[in-house]
Amino acid sequence: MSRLFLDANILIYLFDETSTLHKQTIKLLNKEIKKSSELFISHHVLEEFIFIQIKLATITHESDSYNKLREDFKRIAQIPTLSFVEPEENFDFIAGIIDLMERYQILANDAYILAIILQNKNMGLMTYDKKLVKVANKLKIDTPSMSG
Amino acid sequence: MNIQTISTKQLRQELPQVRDQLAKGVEFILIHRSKPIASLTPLSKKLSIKLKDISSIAGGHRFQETLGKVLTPDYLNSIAEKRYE
Repeated sequence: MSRLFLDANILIYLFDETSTLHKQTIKLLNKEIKKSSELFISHHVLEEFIFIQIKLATITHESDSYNKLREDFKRIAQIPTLSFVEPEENFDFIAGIIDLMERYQILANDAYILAIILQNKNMGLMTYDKKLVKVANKLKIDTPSMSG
Repeated sequence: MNIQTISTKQLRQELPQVRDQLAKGVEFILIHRSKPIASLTPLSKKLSIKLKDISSIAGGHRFQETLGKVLTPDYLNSIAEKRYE
């Protein structure tokens, strides 16, 4: 059984039925569900998801975008075994974020993902972001193959 | 992880707070005389366990088609990074 943290791009592709990666994302998530993997998300990743969804809705002039976003969250809540995992509530955690940003030249959002995973034993990362995968692998964080 | 332990005494005394936590998705392991005796799981989580195929909740947006360009991970990153500009 695996424990996997979901990046925002997984959710974007799950809900964009015209995306090139939509079917592959369904396949990958179903594979993990079948294996009874535990899936995790954090508030900061959901904030990123909201930001991207609203930007895409604005660019594409999608109608009723806020209600569609509400609907997305009702469906996210139905993803089997999905739980919240959040950063430790101390300033050492923040110091770790800054270290990761400096060492790997990454932005805070990605450093938060990696730091949350590092604070939890045996947790992997599911993302299509190749740069993030590269850093995760340097930190010995497991990243399942995203080739479907 | 959103799993907490709670004693039967605490549950009696702090029921409104426990109910609020359950609504937020927190699960509890109920302890009686130092032994776990039950789990309290939000109903939404129990329902989600029954979902076997994610395709039933997938879709709903047609951004790539409307945009006329591939939604690559790099493109999504460029949108996300606008928060830092």
